[in-house]
Amino acid sequence: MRIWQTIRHNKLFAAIYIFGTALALASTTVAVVVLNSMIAPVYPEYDRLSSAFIQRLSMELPEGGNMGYSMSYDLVRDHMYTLRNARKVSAYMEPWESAYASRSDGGLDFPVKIKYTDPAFFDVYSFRFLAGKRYSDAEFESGMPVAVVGEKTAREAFGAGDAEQYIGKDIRVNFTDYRVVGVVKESTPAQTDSYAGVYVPYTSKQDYDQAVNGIPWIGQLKLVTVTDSLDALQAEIAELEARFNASHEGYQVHFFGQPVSHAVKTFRPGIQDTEFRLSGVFLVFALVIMALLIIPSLNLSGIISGHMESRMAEMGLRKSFGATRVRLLREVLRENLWLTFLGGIVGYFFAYMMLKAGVADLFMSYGVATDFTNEMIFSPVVFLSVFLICAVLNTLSGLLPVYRSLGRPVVESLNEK
Amino acid sequence: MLRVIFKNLWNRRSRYAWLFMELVLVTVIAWQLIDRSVVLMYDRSLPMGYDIDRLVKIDVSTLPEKNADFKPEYDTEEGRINSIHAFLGKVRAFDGVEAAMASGAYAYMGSPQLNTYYTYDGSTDTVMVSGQFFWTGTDFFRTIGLEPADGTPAEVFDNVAPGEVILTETLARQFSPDGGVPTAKLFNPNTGEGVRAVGVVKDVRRSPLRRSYSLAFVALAPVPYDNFACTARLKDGVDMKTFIDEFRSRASRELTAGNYAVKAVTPYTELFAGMAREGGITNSYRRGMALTVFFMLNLLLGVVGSFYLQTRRRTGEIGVHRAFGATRGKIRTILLGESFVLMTVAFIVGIFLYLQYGLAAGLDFGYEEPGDTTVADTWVSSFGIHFAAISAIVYVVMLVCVAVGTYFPAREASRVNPIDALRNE
Repeated sequence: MRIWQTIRHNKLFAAIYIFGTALALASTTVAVVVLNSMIAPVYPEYDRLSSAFIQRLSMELPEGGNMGYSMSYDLVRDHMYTLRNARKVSAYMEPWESAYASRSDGGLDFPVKIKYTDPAFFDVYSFRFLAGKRYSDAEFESGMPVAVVGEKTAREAFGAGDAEQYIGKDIRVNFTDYRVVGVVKESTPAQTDSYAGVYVPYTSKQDYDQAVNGIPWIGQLKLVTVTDSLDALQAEIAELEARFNASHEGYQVHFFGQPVSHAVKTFRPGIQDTEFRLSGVFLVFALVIMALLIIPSLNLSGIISGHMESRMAEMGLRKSFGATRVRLLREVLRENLWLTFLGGIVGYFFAYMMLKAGVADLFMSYGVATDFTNEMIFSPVVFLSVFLICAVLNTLSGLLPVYRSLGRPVVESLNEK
Repeated sequence: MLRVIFKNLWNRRSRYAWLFMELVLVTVIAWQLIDRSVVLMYDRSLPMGYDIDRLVKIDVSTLPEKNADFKPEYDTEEGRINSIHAFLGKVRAFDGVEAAMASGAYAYMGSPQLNTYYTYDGSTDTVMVSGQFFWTGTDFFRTIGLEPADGTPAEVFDNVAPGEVILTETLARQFSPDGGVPTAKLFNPNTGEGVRAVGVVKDVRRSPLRRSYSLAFVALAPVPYDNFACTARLKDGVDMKTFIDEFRSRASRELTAGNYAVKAVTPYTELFAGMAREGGITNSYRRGMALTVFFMLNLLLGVVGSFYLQTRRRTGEIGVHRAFGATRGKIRTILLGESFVLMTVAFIVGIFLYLQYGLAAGLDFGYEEPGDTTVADTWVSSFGIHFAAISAIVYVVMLVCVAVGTYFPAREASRVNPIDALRNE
């Protein structure tokens, strides 16, 4: 093949070209994988594209001022669990202070993320159970201290072993014992909606049904739903909001346009930022990709430009035998495209190594340790993006210098010989 | 020689155009990235004013009522306060502990705090004060390792009462220029509450993440919370890891008081590293460094590529130079000179462009927060010095990159045999 000849005859040019492309591709692939893992369906959040969330609301109080918090149990029980436009509904609590779990070997407790949920949480998120099952409706209703634990957390608490062995054991979290009824494949902390090391029924929490400071509808529960029509669900909540405000003198509840989609929830800087548009986020992302590509493109342009000069005589000969400028342009670009794809493959490999080494955590605002799974790295979206980036990089860097070189008169080109 | 360099550059301007554009862009991007990293590095390098290496934070929590060890007789306000003091007594008696103090769970030294405004005496000027709250009677100052400033007797620390504050020297100077203890009361203009300054300590920073030395230690009476934090200072020479291992193995058996039990123990160094990580500061720094390396690698490739391809085509010209007596060193110098001059001109264009941005949007001032009133004293806040310093660093980094990228092609070019080169011509 011609590409191998090009590489054999111009080893240095090919090496710099491939390595330069690989650098650019690796960095942009990491960025694409990070973005993709934030918004695309990944374990166990396979319903991301149809998920909708209510995380926080605000209540204006009769005595002045307002209270911003999550939802009370009364609100969830009476209105949210019966939403007409949601296919699945789950409520959960996330304490903001650290929780600590005990080790069976008597060592001091280790920090663990705990989520207080209802059984429907395991319908909304598709956890893979390695042993046991979720807590039952009966266990939830009676507030039994039972738990579903992530395999890594179970291993840390009880020591290495088979998932089945952990079932029936007690895990102590914040000095309370919970009987393990299920062990799931643990997701990564970057999946903030679903991730926890320990899941327990929120009814096992002492004050789960208490409204904060006795204020109606204000409590500790957040809501995740799966819906076929976000607009209809938003309209239903807006109607609920209006009904409350009309019937509770002095109180005004604000849902701030919630429920919102997973993507909006992920990128919206503040819950009250109702003017937020996703297009702004994607624009910034596109600019970041451009910034990561523009320098390597200039780099390649310079190298291609230099390489074309050394091929002037060859081009002059081809032209004098009748080859058109467009034909030569197409040939040279095709050659470069092959080199770009070779660079792309090397770059993808670099990106894989970088992601496995934790480089992508640098792009996460809070530095959570993210275990990028093969599912995230080798997704079709990422493949397609990398292919497109290759094509853009090739066109960006090659078109102008090649076109300019081929524009020189035949006599001048032949004179190079 | 400079004339030759400029002539060469001018004659090859179209060939160097890509590299020139790349150099300009890299200057602009590197400026932004290096600025952030250098400011963060500078902030971290500032002295803390106390020794965090010997401090550990112990998280203490109340047992839930359902727990078999819960004792209802201790679950009163008085019972809890007595338990806090009993707990501190046990920690102080633990092997390797020099001193220990208690605070609210989220009010340990270095935790994010509330900022308040204070006015001095009858003045209408307000000074925003960053407050570090502490519980009286729990040996706060000795545990953290704060030293009294000149004119403040050490006994003040033992006798400070709720409603009184102790200021750092930097903050004290805001209220009284001689740096002594301000004599008038400080008022919070929003609440009308007054606090009285009773002493001044030598400057300390609240945490490695903050640049400011402006801090007020506000005394509160101990509060019987469900959770509280105990901070212990280890004796000099005690190994932190050995202490933590020993503490972890004995804490659940020995360190309970009333209904309080130990949840976790964390060295302060780990605590601050965690705060920097969760606050995105560590990431911001590492991201800046990683992207700088990325762009410099690209630049290196660009320079190597351009100069290798150029020198191959310039064999004849180099042969002529050599035939007329130019040494290998001179050939190398000419080629290195070309890249330096090209880079310098691109750098000047780049920093001129960045200056326009910097004048409009400001430079990176790190993580200053309201209450960080001393920030203005550092080079970071002086636009001129800041811009010059970062520009110099960017220039040196790029110069090294370009020098490495040009040296090897230049060395190869200088080895050209003049006879061979001229024969090919």
